[in-house]
Amino acid sequence: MIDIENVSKIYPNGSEGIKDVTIHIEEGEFVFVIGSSGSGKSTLIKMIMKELNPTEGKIVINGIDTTNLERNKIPYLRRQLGIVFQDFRLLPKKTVYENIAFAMRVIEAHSRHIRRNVPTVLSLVGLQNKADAYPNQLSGGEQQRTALARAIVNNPPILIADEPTGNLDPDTAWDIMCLLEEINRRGTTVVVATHARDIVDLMRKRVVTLNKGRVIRDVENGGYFDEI
Amino acid sequence: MKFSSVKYYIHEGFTGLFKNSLMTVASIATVAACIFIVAVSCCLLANMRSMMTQIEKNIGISVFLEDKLSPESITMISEQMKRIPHVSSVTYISPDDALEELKKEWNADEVLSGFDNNNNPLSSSFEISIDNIEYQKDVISEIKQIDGVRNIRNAQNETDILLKLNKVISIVGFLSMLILAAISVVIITNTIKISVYTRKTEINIMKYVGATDWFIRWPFIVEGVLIGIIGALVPLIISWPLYDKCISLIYVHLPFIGNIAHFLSGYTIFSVLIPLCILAGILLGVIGSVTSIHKHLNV
Ligand SMILES: Nc1ncnc2c1ncn2[C@@H]1O[C@H](COP(=O)(O)OP(=O)(O)O)[C@@H](O)[C@H]1O
Ligand SMILES: [Mg+2]
Repeated sequence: MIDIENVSKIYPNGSEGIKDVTIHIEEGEFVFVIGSSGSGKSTLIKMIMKELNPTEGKIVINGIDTTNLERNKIPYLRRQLGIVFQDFRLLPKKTVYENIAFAMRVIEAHSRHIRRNVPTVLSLVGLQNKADAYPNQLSGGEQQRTALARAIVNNPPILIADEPTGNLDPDTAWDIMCLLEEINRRGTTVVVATHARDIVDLMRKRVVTLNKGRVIRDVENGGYFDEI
Repeated sequence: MKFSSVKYYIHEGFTGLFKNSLMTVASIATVAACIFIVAVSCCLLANMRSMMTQIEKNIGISVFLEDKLSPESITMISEQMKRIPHVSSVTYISPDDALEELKKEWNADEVLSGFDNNNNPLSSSFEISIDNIEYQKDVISEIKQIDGVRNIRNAQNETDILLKLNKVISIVGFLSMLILAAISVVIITNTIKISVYTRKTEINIMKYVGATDWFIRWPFIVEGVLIGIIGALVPLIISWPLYDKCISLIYVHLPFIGNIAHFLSGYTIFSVLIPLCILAGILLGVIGSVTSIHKHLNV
């Protein structure tokens, strides 16, 4: 589903984000990418969504080779991906419902589908009662649920999340991770970059560990501190 | 392009217009000022041109013929001249007609009283008018080659002045319109730039969820075009009645001008000017917003 082969990224200022990384992720997998701050997690996520281009190597997403992807094809690559960030990135002047519907409208979905899908994902993330609330009327956890609903409303095969619990207290963080697991159970391939060590330890998923831009460990049913 | 998307573009275009209302008003006012100046200069230009054509028509060429030509050869000369390109009319003036006219003009019977149809010193001539004075030289050189033509007289000085005036007016008009268009484009570009910045987050989210570049661009193009159209319509709607008022005032207070030449009606000018300026407004709006999108939107 996601094939990252010998990918390196050197930023224009010379700093190395990622060095010779190879990761293969199958359809339906749940993968944590962990590592200390500056280890290259965000760089990797940004290259998967082609916000950045690798300096070397090749990334194939759901059969789409992103290496020399033309500019006008990038939107169709992005439609394969639901994307969630640490800072939620909701539109403050739109309600929860409108924020989610927005993601469908901008890919020119039918209004019929919008009216059907938005309530469905709202109840999936447990926000059916907050449809008309504005983001500033929500807790951090609720805002991230909204962002999650927006990421999956177009039913992408892959969900990638960069530190989705970075701004949340531990209990709320756990709820969000469980929600991600639920989404994964429904068939979506999920990749989560995080340094929430307790959660990673508890969930026993595949864990890829980055250190200074290199993959130093890649294990099934791993934890944060195993073998270190 | 889907209908629901078109609705979205238009809605978002208007939203952008109202979101930065101060900048919008400023840019509409600038475009309006530019179009107003264009409208005023167009009124002036159109009238000067029309008056010039009226004057040009009076600048004819007199062609004098050799004496004692038979009526047949005079007819032949006339036919030959009619065939020259840009000659719009050929009027024969017999010596008798010429004498008659001279007598009328001078109003002095003493000098001309000795002459009558039997000892007329004047020769036959033709009055030629041409449809465009730019071709006067060509026409004259063609006429010179015709047998039986003795002499040609034309108002060379007046012709040269008119030709120069024509050129100056065209160049000045063209340059000022170019400058005003450039100012409008710069202003629209800036407005759209601010609109782009106030929507940075929105645009980023649109890119993440896979909106196409064109989907992101359209609302800004709509916004630019709206600024262009409103900026064109407002000054035109104001300047039409203003123009009509000006003409009627001139006719009342400066009646001698009306005797020399006629002004074009407001309808004649504005029925052309309004669609042209709206088209220009749309064009300026598109150029301004596309430039801005290209520079600041990175899509
Ligand atoms: N825009 C950038 N320009 C230059 N260097 C960068 C940029 N973004 C990240 N880096 C560098 O790349 C490395 C990896 O950063 P990042 O991918 O953000 O790590 P993480 O997300 O794991 O904290 C760091 O050394 C960082 O300084
Ligand atoms: Mg990071």
